Amino acid sequence: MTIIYNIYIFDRHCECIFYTEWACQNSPLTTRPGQPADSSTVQATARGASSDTQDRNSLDQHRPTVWPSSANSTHGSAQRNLPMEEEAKLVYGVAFSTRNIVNKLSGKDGPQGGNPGGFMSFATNTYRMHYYESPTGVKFILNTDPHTASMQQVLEMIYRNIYVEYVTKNPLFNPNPATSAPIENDYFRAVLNNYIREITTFITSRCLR
Amino acid sequence: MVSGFTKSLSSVVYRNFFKKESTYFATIVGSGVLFSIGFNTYFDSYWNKKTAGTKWEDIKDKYQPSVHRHFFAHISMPIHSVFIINKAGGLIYNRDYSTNTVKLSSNEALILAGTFHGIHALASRISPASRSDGSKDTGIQTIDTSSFRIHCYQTATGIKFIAVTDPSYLQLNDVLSKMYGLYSDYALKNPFHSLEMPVRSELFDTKLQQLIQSS
Repeated sequence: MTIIYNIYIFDRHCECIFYTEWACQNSPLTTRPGQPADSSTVQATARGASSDTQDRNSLDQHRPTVWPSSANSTHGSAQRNLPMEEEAKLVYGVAFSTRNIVNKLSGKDGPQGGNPGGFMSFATNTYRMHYYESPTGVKFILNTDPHTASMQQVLEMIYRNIYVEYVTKNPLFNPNPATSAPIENDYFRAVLNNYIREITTFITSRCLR
Repeated sequence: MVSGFTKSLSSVVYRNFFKKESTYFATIVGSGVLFSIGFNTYFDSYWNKKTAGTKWEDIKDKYQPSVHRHFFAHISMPIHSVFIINKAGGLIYNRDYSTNTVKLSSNEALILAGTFHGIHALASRISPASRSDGSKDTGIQTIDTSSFRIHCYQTATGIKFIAVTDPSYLQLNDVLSKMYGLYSDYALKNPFHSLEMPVRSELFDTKLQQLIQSS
């Protein structure tokens, strides 16, 4: 069974342009330092991954928390944005530095950046962070449970068939490459949610069989 | 006396081997076979001794690379390099064990160690999940890349043992904890070793080399 916690998308300017979580226990959106996380719904999601139907149900009732989002203004932006932005910066820093270490160790370090060393993921005892960088420098960071195998194809699929289709090809896409704009596209979010739900149930059913 | 003994011996030989046609024939065939085996063995060993060092078996490796030898050399050295980082993030030991690693200057290795120390600490801060038993996140344990895999083992005292291996190597914690044993035996117990400073012990070098070659 696999648990997918959250996804971060960073653009070329190191800005977090999209964040969604599905089964987060230590959520940057709800957890304040010194305050225990609201765990009632969370545990339901985490345990619900034990079977297909339960998993789908829990994913349905536990609607993903999203950021940035205009629809989310009820949360109070000042309260929410600070820890979220800090968290995103930390995540970006960790992924970026790990990528640089890997590039250095593989001897393919170049001035143009990118991911020539082929950094794919790192694992701690609680989660595994998967990293995918598109040739244009958009970085996808997906956190799953530590036993999940490679998610490279999933992330490439998200980039190729969801990000490019619904964000880059969107006529309202921010055309100025010098600035970064958060993704506030509901289609993108819906398709991504569907896709993640699909692969969660798919991998889970494959493991149970 | 002597003539009596030869007489009795020859009569025994005659009675047992020559008297009956069938045993006579078997004796001839058997002694012929035995003689040819003995002669061949003796002459082969004599020939081998005379021509030692010039035969094809001895000089073959110079002219055709042995597939098996290279294969075993590859799988017996899956650990490419080892880093040991002290609890402050300083590099105290760094060795390469294979030829296909990138040569890092000492400055680059120091920067690498410091950066790894930083991301190791940060990775436990940004964990999206907490463990069910309430224990803390340990920080990075493995890093997967397309061409190699980095394993990290952190001791209770905060020293990190890092090994770069082939991507096929799944678990390395036992080797890394053996490395910790070697470190405490041959580096920490050395009276000339100062804490948090680079390890300079030849015995540690050789023991580590043996461990890595045997793993």
